[in-house]
Amino acid sequence: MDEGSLRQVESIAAYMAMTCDLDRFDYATELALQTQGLAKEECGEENRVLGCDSRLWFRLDALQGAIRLRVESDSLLVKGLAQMLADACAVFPAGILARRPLGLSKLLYARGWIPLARRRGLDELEERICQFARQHRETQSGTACTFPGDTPTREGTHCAGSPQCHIYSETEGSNQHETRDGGQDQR
Amino acid sequence: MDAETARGDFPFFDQPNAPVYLDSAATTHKPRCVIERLTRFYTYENANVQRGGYTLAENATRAFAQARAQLAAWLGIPDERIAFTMNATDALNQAAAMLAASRLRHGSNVVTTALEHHSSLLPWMEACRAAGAELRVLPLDVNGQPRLQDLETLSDANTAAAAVTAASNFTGWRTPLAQVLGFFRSRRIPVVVDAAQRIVHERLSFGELPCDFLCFSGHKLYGPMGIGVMAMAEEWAQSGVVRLGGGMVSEVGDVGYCRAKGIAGLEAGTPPVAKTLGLASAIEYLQTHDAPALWRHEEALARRLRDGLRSIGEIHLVNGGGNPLPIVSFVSDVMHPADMEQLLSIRGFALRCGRHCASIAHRRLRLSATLRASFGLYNTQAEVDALLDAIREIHRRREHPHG
Repeated sequence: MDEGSLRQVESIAAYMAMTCDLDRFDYATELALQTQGLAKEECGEENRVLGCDSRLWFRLDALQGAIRLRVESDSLLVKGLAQMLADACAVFPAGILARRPLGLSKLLYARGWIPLARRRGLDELEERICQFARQHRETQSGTACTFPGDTPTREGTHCAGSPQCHIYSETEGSNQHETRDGGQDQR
Repeated sequence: MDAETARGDFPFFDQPNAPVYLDSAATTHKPRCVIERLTRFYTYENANVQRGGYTLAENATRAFAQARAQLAAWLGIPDERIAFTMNATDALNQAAAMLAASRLRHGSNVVTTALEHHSSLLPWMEACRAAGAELRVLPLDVNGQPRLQDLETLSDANTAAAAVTAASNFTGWRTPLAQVLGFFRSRRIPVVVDAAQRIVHERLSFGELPCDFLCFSGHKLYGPMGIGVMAMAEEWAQSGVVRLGGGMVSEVGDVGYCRAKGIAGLEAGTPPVAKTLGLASAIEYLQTHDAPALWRHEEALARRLRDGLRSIGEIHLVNGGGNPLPIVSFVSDVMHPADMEQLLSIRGFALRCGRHCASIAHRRLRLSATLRASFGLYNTQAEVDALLDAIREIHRRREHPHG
């Protein structure tokens, strides 16, 4: 996903608007402090992201066509960054999330804002989101959203307008496209 | 020579805004003589070695052989018992492969410690899995030090080999090598020693160590990245084969080959010539300076940091025993090491958060990660004090975020 698309997520846009490393750190850790994470019993080895210096746990749920991500970490910075991915999951529909990993960690790493050690864990989390969204899409009989270049896995409606689609609202038995601001294209 | 003078030999610190570098356990900076040796080789002397008969190639071959001899003399062994590898990891893998091929069988076991670096541990994990052998890990006591008294129960008649770190890259603990290596030698168990951390802080003579392999890297020893050293007992230098290719054979037929005699049989392909010359320069640098005085200086800095961290409070130091390497690993109650690393990086400090490729030790000590400061001969007391001030300020800031 390109930077413009990622900036549709409020927390990501705010983070990226910060002008110095310390402000970015403070923003991410404040976001973590404000976020209700996972309960202790939800933080098990089975839902821990591997490859991260800090411990990062996640839960993915599918709710009416949307993917919900909840995160927890012993590092406030990592939790804050992961929460931005959770915010992205709340903005983008499963069909979009299923296309490829969001690319936030790659973008932040390319800017020099996070080290490789942080990126690895976030990369893994992005991959898990994508896999979950794909599985979810495949189990949504008749409501699968496919995109140019994708191989349709089920009989579904081809989402021809997807590149221009920002908010994809999936309802049972049909696909509806909406843009975020009353049909205004924000891109 | 004092530390300030030594620091002047490292061009890295000439640059404006050079970070306070406290990650020498990961890699050291290079003195000017090492950088210049690499440049000189590639500028004026570049040719492949041990192949061509023309003057340029002969000169390169001679320089390469001299560098090997210099390293061997420094280690106290004949030069035909040193093989060059890519790094310490490569050396440890090759040593494990040679020992495993020769001694590991279904039902045998390998003894190692919970303080091993992954590079020492993983080759044996894989070799044991492949052979149907058992990897036995010496546990840590409550202080984070290997329970050496358990060696007796851990090893038996089926122990095929042992892999031991000379010092932990995480806690700084120095293995009592005479005791541990003597134990294995008395039972005729070959030992691989990972000396990557210790050899830069202490004189280690292979000739005086009863081990089969001693492995280390160049880049932690003020030498170039991309070169490792595998020093070995004579029997391995004569017979081992790990990698196949040009340079390690004396004859090749249609269906077979004849291994070159001596150490050449262990060095397939073009060796790291320039890096070997650079490493020899680094050794020469240490030899021409008062290395013991510099080591005492590093240890004094580490002690100063430990004392300062204790005085801050809400900091827990990892115990490295009575005479640790100048490595200080710690955690703060105030924030996760990854967060602390980031905040210190913003303030111009380079020290590392993570498990430092010592996952087993971290798990045994119930630590998810630690922050590690490690010293080189170029570090100063002012840098330690600045780090302590930065940590105090970060603690205050976290307690009073809007103050």
